[in-house]
Amino acid sequence: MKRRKLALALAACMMATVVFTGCGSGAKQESTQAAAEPAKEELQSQSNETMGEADTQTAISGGKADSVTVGIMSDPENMGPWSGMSQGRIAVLFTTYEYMITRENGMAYGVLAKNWVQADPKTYQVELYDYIHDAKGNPLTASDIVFSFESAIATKNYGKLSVIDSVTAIDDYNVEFSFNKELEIGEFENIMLECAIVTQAAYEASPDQMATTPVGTSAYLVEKYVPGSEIIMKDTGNYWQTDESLVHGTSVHNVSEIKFSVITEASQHTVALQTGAVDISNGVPDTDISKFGEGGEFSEGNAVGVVLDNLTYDVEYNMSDSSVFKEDENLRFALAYAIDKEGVNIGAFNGNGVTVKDFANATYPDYNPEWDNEEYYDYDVDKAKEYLAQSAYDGRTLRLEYISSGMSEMIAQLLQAYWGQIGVNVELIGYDQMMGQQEQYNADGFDILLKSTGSTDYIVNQWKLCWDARDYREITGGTANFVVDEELDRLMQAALSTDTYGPESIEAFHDYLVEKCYGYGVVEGPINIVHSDKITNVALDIRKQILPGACSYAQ
Amino acid sequence: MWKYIVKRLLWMIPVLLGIAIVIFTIMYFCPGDPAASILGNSATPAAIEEKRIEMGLNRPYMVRLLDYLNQVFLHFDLGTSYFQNQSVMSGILYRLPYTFMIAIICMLLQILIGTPLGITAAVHQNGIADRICMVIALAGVSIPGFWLAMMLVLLFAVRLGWLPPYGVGGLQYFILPCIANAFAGIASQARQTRSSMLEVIRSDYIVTARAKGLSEREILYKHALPNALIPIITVVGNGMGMMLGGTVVIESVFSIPGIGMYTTSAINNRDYPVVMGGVLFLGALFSLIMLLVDVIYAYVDPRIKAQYEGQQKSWKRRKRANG
Repeated sequence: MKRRKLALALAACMMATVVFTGCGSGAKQESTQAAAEPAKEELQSQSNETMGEADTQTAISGGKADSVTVGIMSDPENMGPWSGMSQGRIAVLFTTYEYMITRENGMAYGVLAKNWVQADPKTYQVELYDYIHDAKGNPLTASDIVFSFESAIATKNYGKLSVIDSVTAIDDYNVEFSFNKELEIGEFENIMLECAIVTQAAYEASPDQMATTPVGTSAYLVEKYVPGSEIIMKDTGNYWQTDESLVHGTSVHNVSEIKFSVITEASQHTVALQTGAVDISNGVPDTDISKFGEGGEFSEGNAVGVVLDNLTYDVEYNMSDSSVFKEDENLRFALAYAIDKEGVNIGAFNGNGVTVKDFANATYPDYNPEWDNEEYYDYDVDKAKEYLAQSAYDGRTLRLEYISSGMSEMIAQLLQAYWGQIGVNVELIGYDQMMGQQEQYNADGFDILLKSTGSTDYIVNQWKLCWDARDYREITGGTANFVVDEELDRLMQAALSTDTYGPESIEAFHDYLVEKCYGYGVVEGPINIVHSDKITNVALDIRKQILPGACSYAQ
Repeated sequence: MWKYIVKRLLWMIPVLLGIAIVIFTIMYFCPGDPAASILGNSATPAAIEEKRIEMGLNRPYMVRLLDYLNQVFLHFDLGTSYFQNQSVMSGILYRLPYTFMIAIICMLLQILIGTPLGITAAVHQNGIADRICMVIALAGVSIPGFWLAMMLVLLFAVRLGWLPPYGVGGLQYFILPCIANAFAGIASQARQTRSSMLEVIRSDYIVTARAKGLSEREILYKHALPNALIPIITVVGNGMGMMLGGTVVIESVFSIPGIGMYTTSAINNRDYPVVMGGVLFLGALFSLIMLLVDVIYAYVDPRIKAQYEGQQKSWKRRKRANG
C-alpha cells in the first residue's frame, strides 16, 4: 500500500511537470520555450550494438555530414502540407515542415510558438517568434498561421482540428485560437502538432499546392522530387532560428543533403544497406536484422539499433449484445490468463519487445511505474482453465480479427496457439488496413480484436482510442469495442479532463479496466533501425520515424 | 482496311463504357473507406463520416456512377486522386514512360531471343539444340519473376556491383528489371514459335520448296516463318498488353514508379479515381494493342486482309440490297 502511495506521489509530480510546462492545463499558466531543458528523443546506437533504450542526449552537438540517404518504405505521394497522413508522408513531414510546437519525451516545446497561454477554458493565445521566415525567405507572421490552420481545416483531413472554432491574428506575432469545447489533456498540443505551417506567399506561388514543391520553415528545401522514387532535400543554410539552444530535434540540421529513397520491397532495404546505397533504414525485414548485428554477415560498417515502438498490441473483446463475451466475465479472464506475453514477445520479436502491464505501454510520462509490479493477467494455464470451466463457453470457434500487416499475423497465430492450449478454438481473420479499419465496427464480424494502438503524448490518449465512448457511441453504441458501461465512461472522462486529470483518475481507470477485462495490452514491439557507421546517433520523432537532420554523424 | 480500323475504334467506346461500369461497381462494393485511409488510424467515426460527406462518398450508387461516366466520357476527365490531389491522367502520364520503357525492352527481348530460340528448337527437333532451348523455355515459364529478380540483384548488384539494385535513372536501372520481366515472355515466345514452326515445316509446300532445291535458310525465312507468324504475333501482342499493366511485381521489387505501382498503391489506399482511371486507361491501351495486332495479321497474312475487306464488301452489298 505504501509503495502504491509512493508511486502515486511520483506520478503526481510527473503530472505537475506536464501541467506546469503549459501543455493544455486547466490552470491559466504561461508556457515558454525555456520551460524545460531540451531533451531529444534519440536512439543511441553504437557500431554492431543493439540498444534497447532511448537516450536523451542532444543531437545538436553531434557531428555533421555532407549527405545521408534514408530508405523509406512508401512514397509520400503528395508532399503538400495538409494532405492527411500516410506511411510515406510521416517519414518526410518533419524534415519538410515545422509545426507550432514539437514534443520530445512527452514534453511540449515551442518551435514557431515562442509561448502560449490559455486565456479562458475555450481560448488559447500563442505568441510567435518575430523573426521566422520560410526556406525561400518569405517572412512568417500570424496571418500565415491563420491561413495554414484555415486551409488545413478546410481539407477535413485532420479530425483533431474539428474542435477549432476560429483562428484569429491579434497582431503580427500573436494568434488566438477559439475552440468549440473545453480541451482535454494534451489536446491543445496535439492540435498544434497536427497542422504544418507554411507562408501564404510560398503556398500561392507553388504551381501544384506544394504537392511536389513544398516550402516549409524547416532548414531543408526539396531540391528534387521524383514521385515514387526519391526526394532530395538540401539545407538552405538560411534557417530562421539562429539561437541553437532553441532548436529542437525536429529542426536540427546536421546534414547538408538528405536523400529519401523509396524502396517498396523490404528485402531491397537489406540489399541497399549491403551495397551502401542507403545509410539508414527502418524497413529491413526482421529476418535480416541479425545479419547486420554483431557477428552477422554484414556487420562490418553497419550497426543495428532497436528502439521500442510507441504502439502496443492490444486484445479487445467484442462486447456487443450478441457477443459471447458480453455477459461472460470468466471467459474474458480465461483467455487473458492463457496468454504467455513473454512467449509472444520472444515468438514475434525475438524478445526485443516488452510485455505490458496496462492497455498501454510504459513509455508515457503519466504511466504509473508501480503497475510493473502488479499482477496483470500473468500467464497461468491452470487459472485460465478454471475460469474457462466456470464460463459458459460451449466449444464454439471464436473469431480473432487482425490487420494482416507487420507482426500482427504472427501475434495472432501465437494467441491462437495459447488459447488452443486451454481448449478454446480460434479462427483467424486477417484484413488489410482499409478493411480492418471498417470491420472493427462490425459487431457480427468478430469475437476478439487484435489491434496496435499508440499515442504520441499521454497514456490517457491511448486509452481514448478505444475507451472513449463519446467518439464511438453513434456507431457502436459504446466504446470502440461495443462496451456500454457508464462507470467506464465516467472514469475515462475524468482521466481526460484537464480538471480531474491526475494520478488518481489514471489509477482509477487502470484498476477498473483490469477488473472488468474488456481488453488488455499484450506486448510493445520494437523498431529495428539499421544504419552505417557513418551515423553515430539515430534521432527519431514522436512517431518513431527517422529524423535524418537530427542524427549525429561520424566526423 | 481503314474502314475496318475505324469500325474497331468505334467498338472501343462500348467496351470502355463496360469497363468503366464494371470497375466502378467493383470499387463501390469493395470494402474499405478512402476517408478512413486519409484520416489515419486514430480518426473517430464522426470525423470519418464528415470526410465521406465532403468527398461525396455518401451519395447513392447510381448518382455516383452517372456522375463518373459523365466526367469520363463527356468531359474526358479521369478525376483527381484522393491522396495526391493531382489529376489521374497526369499521374498516369507521368508514370507511363517507366512502364512503357520496361514493356518495350521486354517485348524486344522476347522477339529477339524467344523467336530464334523457338526456330532453332523446331529446326533441330529432338536434337541437343532443341533440348537446350526447351530447358531454357521451361525454366523461363517455371521460375517466378520476383525470385529471378532477387537472384539477379544478388548477383549483379550485391556480388559484382555492376548494376544498381533498385530505383530509376539511366538505362542501367532498367537492365535487371527487364531481364527478370522478360524471361517468362522469352520462354512463352520460344515455345509458341517452336510449335508454330513445327506445324508449318511439315506442310506440303515446304516439301515442295525443298524439292525445288531451295536452301534451308530460304525455306525457313521465306516460306516457313511467315506462315508461322500469326500465333507468334498473338503471343507478342498479349505479352505487350500484359507487360503494360502487369509489371506490378517487378516495379515493386525494383522500386520503379510505374503504372503498376501507381494502381496497386491506389488499391491499398482505396483511391478510387486512380484505380478506375488506371484500369480504364489500361483497357483502352490493351484494346489499341489488340487492334494493332489484328492490323499486323492483315499485313502478314493476305487471307486475313481479304477477309477484312470481304466483310466490308458483303456489308455494302447487304446495304445496297436493303435499299
